[in-house]
Amino acid sequence: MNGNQHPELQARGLRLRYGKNEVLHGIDLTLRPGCIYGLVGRNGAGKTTLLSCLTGQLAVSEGTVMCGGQPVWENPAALANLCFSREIGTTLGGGPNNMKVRDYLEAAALFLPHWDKEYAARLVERFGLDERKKICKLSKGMLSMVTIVIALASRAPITILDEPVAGLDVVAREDFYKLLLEDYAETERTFVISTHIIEEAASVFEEVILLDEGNILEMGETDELVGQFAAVTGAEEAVDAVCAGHRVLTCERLGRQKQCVVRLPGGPGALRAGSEVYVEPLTLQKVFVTLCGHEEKGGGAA
Amino acid sequence: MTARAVRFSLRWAAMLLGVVVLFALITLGSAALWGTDSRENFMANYLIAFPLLAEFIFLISGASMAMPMLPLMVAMGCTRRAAWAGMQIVTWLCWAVLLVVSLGMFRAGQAFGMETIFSSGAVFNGLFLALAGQLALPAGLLEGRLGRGLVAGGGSVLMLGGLILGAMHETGILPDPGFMAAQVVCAVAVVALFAASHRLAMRLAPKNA
Repeated sequence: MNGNQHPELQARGLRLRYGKNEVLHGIDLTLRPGCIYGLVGRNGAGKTTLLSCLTGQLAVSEGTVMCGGQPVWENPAALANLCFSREIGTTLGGGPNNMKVRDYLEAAALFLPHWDKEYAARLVERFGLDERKKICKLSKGMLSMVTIVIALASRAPITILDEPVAGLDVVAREDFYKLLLEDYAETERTFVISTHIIEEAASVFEEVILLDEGNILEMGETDELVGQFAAVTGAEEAVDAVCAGHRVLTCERLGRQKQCVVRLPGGPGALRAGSEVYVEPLTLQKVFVTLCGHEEKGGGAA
Repeated sequence: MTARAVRFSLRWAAMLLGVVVLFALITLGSAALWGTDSRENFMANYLIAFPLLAEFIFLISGASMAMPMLPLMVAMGCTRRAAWAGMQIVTWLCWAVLLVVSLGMFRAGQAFGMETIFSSGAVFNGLFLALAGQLALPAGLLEGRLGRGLVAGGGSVLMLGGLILGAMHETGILPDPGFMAAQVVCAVAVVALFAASHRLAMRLAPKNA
């Protein structure tokens, strides 16, 4: 194992095919050390698949995945830097998952070289988890908590969480984000979090990766990306006039009003908007919906 | 990393072996206390059939171990090579222990003056144990209905096969070299399943373990 405590995770030309069906298309990605990444995408976009390839859980069809300059696949030195915490199945081998919470934590302690046993115990107590309980008997929320304990207590230099807050109530989600930031402040390790609950997590993400149908649509600093988008609302003629010459992504009519979302690489300051229109910034969620949710892609006024 | 995989697998294997050894001790104890007439002591039947039961326990439990263990180890960052090697080491260790226990039971049965159908087939029976263990791993890796079908179907074939072949040899229906040939076929099957489980393990992609 190299002495790099903050390794970089890199994918080059990553493709994954199931038979003739390609699900990841030539992905290039560099996760710099000490950053919290958000990975967002629609259902079926390939988020879990991508994360599985990055962590050596799935063999890629083409391309390379390197961690700290070493290939990840079947490489103990590279794998020692990684922790991929994902949904734990309540069934195994066709039957109920009769393993206990304790079994999973023991497995984690054995195979994750940076495992912090005391921190794990504190987290278990904080979440009120019963280690003697079988996985198949846990609620969805409790299952999420187990995956969170494994991720945080792993202390792995690159920790990846796949939908960690699914099933958690809002109080538990807030607790998770707080724990995440505390851990990050203490360890400065790299986190990658895939989630559908974008708005809550947006404030935590330093950088965001938007995945759509196996391609990276956008990747960059969250504030910088979000700052490029603006919603222009007003009378139709006024909105059209303000948006003329800029890249319009979506438009919709709201009674007599019209709202267009524009992308401005230089920020909303590029718009020459008067009092006849209202210009407002977009949230990350709205940016995501705009880029991934509308039928016509590639810009143009509707 | 293989050492960690062995440690993890051993915990489960220890439970399995503990059950088998306990069962053997109970059987021997009952024979010592209540005799070996199976009409009077039902447990005496297990002195005869112990190797058969050991195969069955080994197969079912081996598959139960493989089904969650390998994907879980890989999901936690263990390499497939190390996880598979660890499980193989533990499987063969279990085989060795079960073989010793089976031989011990067979000798005990002789000491009690019992006729057993495996009187000359203990080593042959050990091959079936090895086969059972090797069947468990790839069956476990296949998961789902195919895996369970292999375990149930394969296990039944092994049990019957061992019983029938042993009886045939014992009664002279299948003398050597036929009996030797059967053992060779068994050994080849062990090697084939060994290769199959390795191939399956190297392609393992844990979904949610």
